[in-house]
Amino acid sequence: MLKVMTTNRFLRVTVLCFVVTTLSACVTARIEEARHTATGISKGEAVVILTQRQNVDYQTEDGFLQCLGDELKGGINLRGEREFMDQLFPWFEPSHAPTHADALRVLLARPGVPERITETGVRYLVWVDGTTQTVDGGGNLSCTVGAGGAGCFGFQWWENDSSYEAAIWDLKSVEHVGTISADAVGTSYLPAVIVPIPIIARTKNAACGGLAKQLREFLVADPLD
Amino acid sequence: MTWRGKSRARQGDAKNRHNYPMIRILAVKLVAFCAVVSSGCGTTVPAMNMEFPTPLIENLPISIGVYYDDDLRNFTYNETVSDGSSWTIELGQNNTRLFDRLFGAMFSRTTRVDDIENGPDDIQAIIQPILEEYAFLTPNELGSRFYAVSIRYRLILYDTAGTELADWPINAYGQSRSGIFNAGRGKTGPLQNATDLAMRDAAAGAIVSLPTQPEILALINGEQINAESNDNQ
Repeated sequence: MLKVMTTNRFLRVTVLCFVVTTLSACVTARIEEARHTATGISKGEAVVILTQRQNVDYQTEDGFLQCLGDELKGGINLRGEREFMDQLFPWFEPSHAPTHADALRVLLARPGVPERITETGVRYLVWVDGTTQTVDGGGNLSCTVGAGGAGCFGFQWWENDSSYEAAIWDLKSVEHVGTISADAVGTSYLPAVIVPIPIIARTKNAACGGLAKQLREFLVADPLD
Repeated sequence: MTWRGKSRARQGDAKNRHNYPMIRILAVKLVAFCAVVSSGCGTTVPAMNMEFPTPLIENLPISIGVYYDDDLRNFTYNETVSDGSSWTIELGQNNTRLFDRLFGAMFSRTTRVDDIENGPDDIQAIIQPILEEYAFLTPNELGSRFYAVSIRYRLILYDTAGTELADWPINAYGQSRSGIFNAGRGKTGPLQNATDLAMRDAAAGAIVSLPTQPEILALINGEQINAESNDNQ
């Protein structure tokens, strides 16, 4: 009898966990690409993803960069941001990094810089900028904890907007070769009757996946072929 | 419904009834512990061994003496911020590590000097870095999820007899995202990281600005620097 009850409880917990972790709200994602010239990447050439750190108000989340790196790993040779910045110190520090192609040309004219870039094997710089923001929300949820247990009651919702942009620079042609933008919007819900059940709109994941897929196609495929 | 049922079962269980006061005592102790931990205790940001990369620059053909005073070598910053938490940041070792790396790459030869008024004969001038100002903002103060650090160094150029020839301010900034659960106080990692970034920014600023200074150009050309002509610095 005890064994049956334990099994039932285990099943209920498992089903609840499964439902909670798999429930996700709808996300609308839009990916746009602007290509200025043909691209392509050879074996041995690498890509480095750098973040725009000039903004004081926000910075692209480390988690987003990690996600982008993980998505791009297979087939694309990636270099670490900090490793690249250290090797070219101080020319990619936030206050001195080139912000346009002309500044990149000036930087590449500095003694030692082209040679060091060749050593790193980096062909493309991908400047990532953007963040995820909660743009709207509402509802009310209250939770209480007592000696007998804890519980929540209410309903909350919020809308997230994940907006990111990747500007791709080719160090071989010293040109800004294109820009890819990803914008994902979704509303998350949190109804609670004793147990809160989050129904999350994973906008950041959607933006990351879309941006990585488009970026991979942009770097690897040559549209002129 | 399930909630009340579980509660009843617990009350009806003799063993649990016996443990109930103990659970309450534990809960009270836990709350008391949390209150003590989050009650604005002092936080010391220890002297982290920051490693600064070797700058990718061509060195300037100058022999320079480098003088670090005790204030720079033992620099410690104390502040009680608006939320009541007090912070102590130790920067001394990292200051000397930063400037050793910076000047070692910038100048063809550097020598540590202990007396600013009696520099050795084989150097052309002496540089003394001073940390004039260190300031930081916590996420609570900034209203964001970042720790922000600003540092102002001043580099003072002397001749080998200790006469001041020029000085240059170096303003630098660094910011680092805090974790979800450490936006308030007591977490040193993001502040260390922001300080590291600010010091790197200071080095970058010195690398970009120093080679264009007239006094440095004069030293490169082996010219005499007139202290009176630099009063406007």
